[in-house]
Amino acid sequence: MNETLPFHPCMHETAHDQIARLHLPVAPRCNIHCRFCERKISPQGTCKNSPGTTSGVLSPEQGLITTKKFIEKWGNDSVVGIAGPGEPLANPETFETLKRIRKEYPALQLCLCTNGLNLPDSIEAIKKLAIIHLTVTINGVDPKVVAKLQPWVKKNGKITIGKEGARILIENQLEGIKAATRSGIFIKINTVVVPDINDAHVETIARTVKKLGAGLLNLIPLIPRGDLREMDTPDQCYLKVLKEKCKTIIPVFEKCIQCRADAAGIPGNEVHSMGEDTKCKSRRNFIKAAGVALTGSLLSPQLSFSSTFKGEQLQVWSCGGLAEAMIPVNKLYEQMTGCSIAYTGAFAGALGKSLLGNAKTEVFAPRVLDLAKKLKAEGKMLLFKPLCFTKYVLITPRGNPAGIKGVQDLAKPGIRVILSPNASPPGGAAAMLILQNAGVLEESKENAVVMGDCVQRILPDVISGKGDVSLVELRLTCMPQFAGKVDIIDIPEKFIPSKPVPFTIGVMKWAKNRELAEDYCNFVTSEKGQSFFKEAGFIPALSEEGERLIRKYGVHDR
Amino acid sequence: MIDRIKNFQWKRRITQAGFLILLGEFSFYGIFRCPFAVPYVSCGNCPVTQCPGRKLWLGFWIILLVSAVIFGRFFCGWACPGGLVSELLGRVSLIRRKIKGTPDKALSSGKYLMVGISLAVFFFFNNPRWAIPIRVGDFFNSVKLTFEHADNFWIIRTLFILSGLVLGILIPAFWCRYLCPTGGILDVFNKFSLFKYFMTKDCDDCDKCREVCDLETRPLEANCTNCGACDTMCPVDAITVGWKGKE
Repeated sequence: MNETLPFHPCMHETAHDQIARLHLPVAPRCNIHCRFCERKISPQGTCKNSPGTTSGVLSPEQGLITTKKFIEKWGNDSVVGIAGPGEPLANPETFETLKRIRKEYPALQLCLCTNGLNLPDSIEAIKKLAIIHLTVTINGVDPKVVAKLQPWVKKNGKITIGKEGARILIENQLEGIKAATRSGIFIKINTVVVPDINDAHVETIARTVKKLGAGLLNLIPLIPRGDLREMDTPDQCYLKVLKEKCKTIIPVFEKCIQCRADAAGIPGNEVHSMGEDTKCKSRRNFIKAAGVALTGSLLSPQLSFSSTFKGEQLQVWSCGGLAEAMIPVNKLYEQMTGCSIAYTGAFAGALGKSLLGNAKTEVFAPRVLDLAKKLKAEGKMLLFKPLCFTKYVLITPRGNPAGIKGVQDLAKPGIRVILSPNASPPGGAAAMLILQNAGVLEESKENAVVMGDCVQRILPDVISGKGDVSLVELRLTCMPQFAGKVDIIDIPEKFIPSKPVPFTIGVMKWAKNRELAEDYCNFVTSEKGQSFFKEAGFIPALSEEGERLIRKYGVHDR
Repeated sequence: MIDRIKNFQWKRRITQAGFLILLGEFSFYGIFRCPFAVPYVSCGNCPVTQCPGRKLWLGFWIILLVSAVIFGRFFCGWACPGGLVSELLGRVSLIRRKIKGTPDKALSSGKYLMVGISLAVFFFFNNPRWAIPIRVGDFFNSVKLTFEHADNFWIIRTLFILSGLVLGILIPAFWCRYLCPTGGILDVFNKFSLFKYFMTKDCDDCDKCREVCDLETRPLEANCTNCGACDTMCPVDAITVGWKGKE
């Protein structure tokens, strides 16, 4: 699929990590109001990294000078584009700047981001500049939806509000895309996913733009800012479900980091556009640094994931709760190294009992820190490291009809509570302990309308509204059949028992090829491996939150 | 033996092979890895991610009931992987044609006792989970782990099913004739189904058909699975297949 996409850092996943891009902030004015947008001046390196943010506005002359410096540094296979901080097509400076650059660099890849309102009128100018890629932001194709996000538009000096404004915007966007693709321009669509406003509409957008010839869709989670600063960003796992659905319609870009209007360099590896070579301490880089520190301290650092173990076998056991993350991780590792993994996932208490008895495996990823420590003390596990943490949450039917605010509400008379006391301990006993710690166990039991014996079987009861609230691990709400179908409420950490929270991964003494077993553990705890755990609803060890929890629970094998 | 080859029933064998591919894994999981008291019916949100039943079960039951309305108890002899195992074990059965008449009838009602127990466990006890689900795992290891960590109830239910099947070595199709609750439910449909095998008034009670039958019965009698094995064996051509039991 990637092969048919342009080799552009914002459109091709390999190019994303190889090709540098420069955003010239020459376009300050905007012609629509997006309720999630906050245009602001903020210096680079402060980690206020989001579209609409810039350290300053450049004039077309300054734009050309910046471009020259940039090309000297990054070479002429880079991409130079204009993405704000306002709407590029609403600022004559955009074309002024691009014309100057095109004159100096006839072969340079130029690029534009637009909201599409002026796209039909600008197509000729864009063609003249030999621009072959455009990104158009479309948050809906139904005026009712769009009016909620973009309450007014300004076209030819006239402001139109509400649904009529939204209709004008959509009309121009769709007409513009059609005209652009007809001229051979590659179109990427950005859609800001805003929960409860356009999340259910995303597939319709995908279908509509596909029909008009767009080649790529980029779903970007809402950054709560501007008028929508009180709203939640969509769950990582829900976003993944939406992406999977859209992938059946149109290719979906996975690597977007939602960069600034003055971003410069290879995405995720930014430097100041004005020349100074200081890395922004972004979360990504923090994660990378933490990853190096972790693998370095626990396993020998020279092992790498690129070594191949073709034809070899590795037996991996894990806590069953991790299966949704482990299955894709294993598949990827098999593809990368050529080895084959025999994977078993089941209740860690049971697997642990077997391993403390006569059973054998090569890698084991249990829940409960004490189990790993016990296996290590018996010499059966050689070493282990932190893998991830689970999170307990309250779930309610969509819209939270009973108005649950926190765990204390489970004790209120008339609230219909759904519990699963007889599920495996991490879902059953641990949930009961949380209620006990919060001092609402007896009342919750009295309020119970369902007392189940399996956590996966109680979710449908919550979704259907048979009860008002239940207490489960966040990971369950990330399973494809449940994702996006419940509302989630946090539980204060002080009520959460420590036992079921940490997961570790360790090499067992029966590992036939210790190098393979350690390499596998390294991969699972690498940035790529950990991303699957995040998507499955866990807190990866390799994250700021994970770091904190590693310290809190003392997750280390010494 | 020559009779058996002559009466190989190609169409039925091919159908059985097809359904073995489609349902074989599901039926295996139901016995050896399903954590629930009554297998094959709580699959929608089952934690055993690997089991094909998660996708198959609902369609399976719907199609089974529709087929029962049209063809009666036809699944057992044409599609059920368990029925196939029973049939093969029946080939070497030691006690043939000994259980008939009243004892056979009495034992046959065991199926309805099983239906009752299954329904009660399902509806009144919400089909409890009696084993720790091995969510993902390689074949034999997972079965071993399931047995290792299951409740005693689960061990009893599983050994009961397995002994029922294995008893087929002594008495042909013991499980299917006397214990299978699905078979019991389907047997009832034989009375009302649109198409089925039946005997015409030419029948002179020679019982040749009972001799070739894997379930030791006759058309339209209890345990007939409409397999049609007896069709060509009738000396007076009194067995026929048709609509609503009319000629």
